[in-house]
Amino acid sequence: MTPWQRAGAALALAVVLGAAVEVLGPSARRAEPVPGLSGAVVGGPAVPLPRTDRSIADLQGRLRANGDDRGAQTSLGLLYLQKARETADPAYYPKAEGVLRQALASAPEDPDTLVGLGVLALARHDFAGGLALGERAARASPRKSAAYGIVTDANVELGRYDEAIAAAQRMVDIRPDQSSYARASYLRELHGDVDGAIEMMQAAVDADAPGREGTEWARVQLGNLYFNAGQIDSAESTYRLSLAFLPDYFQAKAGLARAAAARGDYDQAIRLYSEATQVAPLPDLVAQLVDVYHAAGRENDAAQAQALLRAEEKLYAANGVDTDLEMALFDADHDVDAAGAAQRLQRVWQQRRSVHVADALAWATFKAGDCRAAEGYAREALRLGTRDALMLYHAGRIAACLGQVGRARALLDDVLRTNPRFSVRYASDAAVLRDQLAGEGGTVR
Amino acid sequence: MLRLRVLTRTALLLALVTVLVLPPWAQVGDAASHREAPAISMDPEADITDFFMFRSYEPGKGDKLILIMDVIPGEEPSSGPNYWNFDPNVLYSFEIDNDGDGKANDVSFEFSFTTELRGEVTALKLPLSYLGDADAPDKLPPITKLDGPGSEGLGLRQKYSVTMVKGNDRTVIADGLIAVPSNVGPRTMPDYDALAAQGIYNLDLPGGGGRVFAGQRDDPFYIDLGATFDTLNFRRNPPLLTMAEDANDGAVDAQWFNPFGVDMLSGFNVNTIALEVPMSLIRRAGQPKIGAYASTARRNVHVIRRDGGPVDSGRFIQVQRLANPLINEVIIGTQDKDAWNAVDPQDEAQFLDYYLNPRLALALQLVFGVPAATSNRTDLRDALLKYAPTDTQLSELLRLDTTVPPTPLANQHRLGPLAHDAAGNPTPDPAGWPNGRRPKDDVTDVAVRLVGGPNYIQALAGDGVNFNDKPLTTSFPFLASPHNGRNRVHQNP
Repeated sequence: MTPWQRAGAALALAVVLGAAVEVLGPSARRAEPVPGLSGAVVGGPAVPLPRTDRSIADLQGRLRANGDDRGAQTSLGLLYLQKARETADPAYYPKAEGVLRQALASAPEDPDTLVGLGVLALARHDFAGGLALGERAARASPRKSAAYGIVTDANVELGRYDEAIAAAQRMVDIRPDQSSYARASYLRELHGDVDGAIEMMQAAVDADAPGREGTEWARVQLGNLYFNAGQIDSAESTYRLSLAFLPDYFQAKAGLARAAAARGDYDQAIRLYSEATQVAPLPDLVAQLVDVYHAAGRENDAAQAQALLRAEEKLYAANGVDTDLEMALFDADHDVDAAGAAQRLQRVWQQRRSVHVADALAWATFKAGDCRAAEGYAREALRLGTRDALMLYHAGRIAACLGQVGRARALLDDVLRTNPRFSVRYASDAAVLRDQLAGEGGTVR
Repeated sequence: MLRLRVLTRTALLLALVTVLVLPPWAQVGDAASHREAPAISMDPEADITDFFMFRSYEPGKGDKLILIMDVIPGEEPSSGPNYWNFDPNVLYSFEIDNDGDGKANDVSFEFSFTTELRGEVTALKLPLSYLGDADAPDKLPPITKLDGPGSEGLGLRQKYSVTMVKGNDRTVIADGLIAVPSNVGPRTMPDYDALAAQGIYNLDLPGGGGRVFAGQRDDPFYIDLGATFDTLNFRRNPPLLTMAEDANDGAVDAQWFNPFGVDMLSGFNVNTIALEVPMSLIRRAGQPKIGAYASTARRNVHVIRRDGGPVDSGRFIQVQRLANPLINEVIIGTQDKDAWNAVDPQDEAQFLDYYLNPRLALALQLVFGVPAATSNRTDLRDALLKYAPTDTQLSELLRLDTTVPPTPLANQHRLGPLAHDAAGNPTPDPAGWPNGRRPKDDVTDVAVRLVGGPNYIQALAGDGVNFNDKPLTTSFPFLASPHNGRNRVHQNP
């Protein structure tokens, strides 16, 4: 068990004991970034450390020898961010910030440090801040590919898609590689070009060595594209391949869990989600686990998982991560103060007009009972032509609420064409609603 | 294990002072729920670790030019199940200038690969690339051939083509050649050297024959990376070699040891593309000097497709180049590294300041307190960017005076032009870097001395690693057979 798995287990246990909130503060899961070293000291065979841990240890050593080593500070900051990516532990964010700010103090326009801080801002969902940092890095080093990656990501989340496309094109013009291909894929996906997105994500997978975290991340995204296109079998085999190359990779396990749930195999889905969230208790994954528990009728487990999610929310907040969008959507889905959720999403919408914020706001507004207002947001959510079954379903539900039978039917047809098994929570409702609408509005095409 | 990527060449790193050492595997991104691709691709398959160019020193082959590029830094030999492969989406090429204008656009050789899954492995649907049992050949024939019987277990096989480009003429000079797979181990590949030898193909070329090889080899680079990264904490203080140590070129096996360094690349492999061509195919009359670099490129794309257009927009974009060793790591500043890799060597003038005022010299001075030549280094500019001091075109190319006869491997001096005997008398070997580059050349020590200046040349400064962990060979493709995955070790020779 790695320290992170231990931390995850401790957290789960705390939740069970009803003590979650008390033990959770910024220091509850302090980042102790040399896992494994103590084992080597105690004796027994020297186990090679994972690469990230090992490099973190190396760089910490270098900084102990020379605290002013700016290159080491920046590298260590980037490694903490990588570690956060691998463990979903936001406690690494303040650590990353500490060393990156130190590095920036001695070289305010160093492009690598600015990229690190930009990544950190994005990770904390401070997209405006990330955009500023990315643009500053690009000014300091106009041909630095990674700077445009940050500008791309920030613009996507801010809903500035034309700017995002321009930055991604600049990025791929500078350096066609896994990072730039993956971003091109996402922009194609958002614009409804599923085939183009799949081709591009495959190129991203092929552009680096199998088994590396970035490659397997891209492979899981490829699996997700298949899943979202209703090709559950292709999705599963892609996730399996990822697990073969990077055993226990939590993103791949979560993918398999999602596919199992879509097939109705809830036991398998629960097992896989539990394993994945044990390694990396990402709020997204915990929320999906909650849904599967509900679907399986295991309400007590669902409540516990939901408590874990609330604890995660506080942990993320304590480490500077803004999870308003994610949590508000969860609340709306689970009818927990939908009006409050809609209000919070209104505030998010003022800051960033992305299709995902629009979709969440539409859904929360609908749940709060205002179908008229929800419809405008639903149209905003679909303004790029994204072929996302959940977003299409939300829009269809809202149209049905307004009695727009033709529009609702067309949208639900789209849902069922795109991916009839898109959600454990809503897939059957989509099919039922479609049938009802068929009865109401005349002939079905 | 460390996949010593960057490390390979980030060598003398003075990272410490000014250069950022980006951790090789740092992908960097977000753990929370918005979708964020990795910020930094390391792209090992497109990462050129070394480029060699020399007149062949194989007996009787002095009229041949050898070009070698190594990619994929720090291949851990035991990295199953897929081991190490070329990237089918990368265009690998050698780019050559033969008319002295500093533009490497006269002759180029391009290599592109395809990957197939085949044989037993596919039939059995095993998640393995290679399969074979030398002890039970009836059940599982070991891999003894690249094609036909004996190749059943070669489940992942790469083929490649070689294209020669001269001006507007593109000639496919070979196609369907098979790349030699990674050295898995003795049960699967009982006679790896015999298997690898099948991957040396004869080429029928204007002006005579040539040969080509693509596949795994031992990483020929040698350096004490660990000491270098620990703020130049070399294993002797100060890091100076004795006259006798410095003169030792390891001609006699008993002398083959490192004075005080540890070769951090021992036991690691690389993927190699090696090409032998008639010198007459390359050289132009009246132009004894040629310049060249190795390049990797990937296809550009339109982020948003128009009306279902193709993924590829067709144009290849260079993602890395390599001519002289260590340039991007120790000469070029961190904010310009991406830009430097993307531009052609003929546009080097924009980076001139880095050559005139090398940070490496500054770093050496800082750490060792010995004055180094830190400014106005027109000598470096002329050596690295020009054929002759009177040239006005600045191009970062590896240059070779083709009139200099090759030195047989047994007589090669690792210090090339700086070589001397045990008594201190100069014994220059003019066929070594920076006149071309051979695998034998100790570019780390030569670079430290040339960049540090007279004080560092005189004092015999170096990292204390003088030899590769495996002996080089006298015949094409010149690099040692790779370490096998089953029995690999990493140790100081």
